[in-house]
Amino acid sequence: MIRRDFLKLGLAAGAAGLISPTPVAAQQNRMLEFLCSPDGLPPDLLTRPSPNSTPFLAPLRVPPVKQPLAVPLSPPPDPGAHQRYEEFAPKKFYEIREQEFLWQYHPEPPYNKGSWSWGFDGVTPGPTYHARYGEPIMVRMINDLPPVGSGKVGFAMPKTTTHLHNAHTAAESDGFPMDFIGPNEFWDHHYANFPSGNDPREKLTTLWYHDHMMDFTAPNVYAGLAGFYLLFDEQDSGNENDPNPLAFRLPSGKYDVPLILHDVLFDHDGQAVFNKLNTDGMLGDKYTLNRTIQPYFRVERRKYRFRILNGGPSRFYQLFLSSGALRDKLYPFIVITGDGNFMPRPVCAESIYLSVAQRVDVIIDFSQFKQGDQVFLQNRLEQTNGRGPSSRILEPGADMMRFDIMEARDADKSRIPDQLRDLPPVNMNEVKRRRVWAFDYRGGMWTVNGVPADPEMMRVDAAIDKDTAEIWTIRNEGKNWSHPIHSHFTEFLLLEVNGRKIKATEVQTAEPNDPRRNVYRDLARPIDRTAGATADFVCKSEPIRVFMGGNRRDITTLLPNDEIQIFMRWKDFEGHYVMHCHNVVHEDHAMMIRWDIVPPGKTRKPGDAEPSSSPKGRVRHPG
Amino acid sequence: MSDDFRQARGVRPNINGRIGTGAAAAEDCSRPLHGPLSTYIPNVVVQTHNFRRALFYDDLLRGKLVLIHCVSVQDRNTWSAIETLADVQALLGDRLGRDVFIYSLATDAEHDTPQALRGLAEKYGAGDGWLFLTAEPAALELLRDRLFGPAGGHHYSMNLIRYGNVAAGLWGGILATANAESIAERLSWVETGKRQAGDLPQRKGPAPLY
Repeated sequence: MIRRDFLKLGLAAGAAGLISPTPVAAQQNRMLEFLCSPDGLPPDLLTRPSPNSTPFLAPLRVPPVKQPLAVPLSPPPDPGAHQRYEEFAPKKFYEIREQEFLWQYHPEPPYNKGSWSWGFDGVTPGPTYHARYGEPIMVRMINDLPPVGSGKVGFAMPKTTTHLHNAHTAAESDGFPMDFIGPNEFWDHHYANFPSGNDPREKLTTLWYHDHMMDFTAPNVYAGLAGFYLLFDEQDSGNENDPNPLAFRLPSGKYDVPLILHDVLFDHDGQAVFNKLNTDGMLGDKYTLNRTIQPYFRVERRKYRFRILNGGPSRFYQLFLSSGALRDKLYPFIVITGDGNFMPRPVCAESIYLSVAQRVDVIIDFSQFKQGDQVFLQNRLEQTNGRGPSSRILEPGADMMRFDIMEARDADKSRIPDQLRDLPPVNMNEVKRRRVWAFDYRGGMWTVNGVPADPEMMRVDAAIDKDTAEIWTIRNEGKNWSHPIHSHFTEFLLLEVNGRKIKATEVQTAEPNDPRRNVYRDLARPIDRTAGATADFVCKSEPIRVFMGGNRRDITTLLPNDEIQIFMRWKDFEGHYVMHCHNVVHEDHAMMIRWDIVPPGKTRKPGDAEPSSSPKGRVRHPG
Repeated sequence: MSDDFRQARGVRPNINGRIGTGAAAAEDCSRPLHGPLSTYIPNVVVQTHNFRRALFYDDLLRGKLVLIHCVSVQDRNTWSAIETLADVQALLGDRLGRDVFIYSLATDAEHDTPQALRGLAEKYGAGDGWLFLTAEPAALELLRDRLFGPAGGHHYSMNLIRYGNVAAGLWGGILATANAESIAERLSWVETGKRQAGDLPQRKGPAPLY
């Protein structure tokens, strides 16, 4: 029992003396000496801005690709601990360590001496997994972090549980918030790498792994515990020269670049600062890409694929690509994915709106520029507190990264297919029930349907029959805050937004000065089946003003008063999962529910107790 | 704090109840920095249910493991958390008052007088290391803003218990209706630990399914 250990440790330590606030008379002088309240206390940490840093001094760093082990895992994984282990026997084994280290965000003082960070295998973001559909893997996550009080990153919790965001993963490998490991402990994660229901339309492409520790997701991810996990298949094969006629031949190799966005606040010493006592959200004043402050990136005059992820903790972005001293010349992005999945067709967009944890893969063709040109990736969305963005667009906006254009070394063989991947269908015959989830605030805690998360995550808020679908209504009861809501395990399809039915071919956009951003544009065009994958996509007509997501997603971006209806299906595994706000400060203050997938016909009602055979925080899976 | 105290400083509170102004005050008030968030967590004067005065950060927080929550003598809804903390007190045993401390922070300066708080403390058997605290309204408001919600944001919380390792700067929040064991366990999460050198990593999970 942890609690008993805790009490025992205290008895052993026993050194600290009893405090006793001294009587007033005896302490008067001391109080006079140190009385310093509340003067000098900033309303928030942001009133002490980070030290200056010259933009575009440091190159963009691209995380290394994670390599599998050449020798077997020792000790070996326990097949009996994983659902469907034999059926999806791992073909590759990985070992990865969560560690604390000095990380240089910027080459100028005080940043040049390094900022204490957490990450994986000595880097943040952690190494990128290149996984393939049909090739299950096993990842041994080793917590190599210093125990509380002995490390340098004081605000984060060295108990961790790693979630592979949106992967179709068995419950015991999903990074449930209470499935945590402490320093010098490990957890085996089995990633089976098959699409939900073995339906190829359910495939995913850009995923990320990050910590999900109960009460501490925000500081732990902010400290650096995040990285990319890319899923390839014969279409998205990761080879732009692939002779397979099915292959998309998207830009690959060094032309396929993951970009994670974090806003970070630093103290005068260049160390990251996090205010855990703020329940609204944490904003930083330094834009970092792959944990470098405002980097530059030398690109060739050819196509690149960027996998852009808003890594949080609380900021929303609206991204633009611009040039000129006033940043007044804009260039569209070619958007090929929304969150984790390929859209049926690419979309041409002047800007991209990303709430926390949202992702897009975009193609930028730098052949439209000349050698020596400079182009800027910008954020123009105003946000002044953690509760959510304002509706204002700032011009000329804030530069996040500079692209420096160079001549291409070789001919660009990559392509942008005009057709990508069909969406999985909505089938109302699969729907077993409907649920409503209302997101609100009460008494210092963020709530779902009026209650904060159970501190032990034992309360099952929804028990869902395996192999069924449900319709969920996700509602924001707040007028002044925004919530990017993420449910694990399976992506959803949009049915209705604020009473308006959404067609599968529609993407969310916005009109100028539209604070509601609830405009949907139908981009349906006849698909020429005879052309197959041979047609290339080009931005022919006017781009949409802002891409806010396609029809299939894993984040429901609730802006104030929004109500969104979604269709979700659950297949293949059983066990405990969560849905939560991905403004991870809200998550840490309990805006989270637990839902379980249960064998068909054994549905327990919400609030029903866990079966007595279940160990705490876990679910057993009856045969 | 008392009027004579203000007079001794030769300053008057401004509209926010703050004492002193600008650089002169900062010079007067300079104090050693005691660790993470020591400039963020207010070092205001508070009064305990034992009729003593203390500086919130320097005297009550510095170097300790703490639980902090909000109470009100007149709002009985806040008493259930006190009842739970009485159970936590029992679990903590003699660690309470040695390196672990519980602070029940008043929210209604007018009614949450030291005498009234003493009544609550006695009702629930608060022992050494569990203090009920009140202060001037502005100081209480500031403490709530900083510990339970950001300035300009939502109201303070009756629903949240802060747990923290002040020396490490490691803080969390747990639902006030959590059971005593959960609250004690959260304290164990933030407790200063020690690495066993040379040990091989141990398997924590997942556990066998059957």
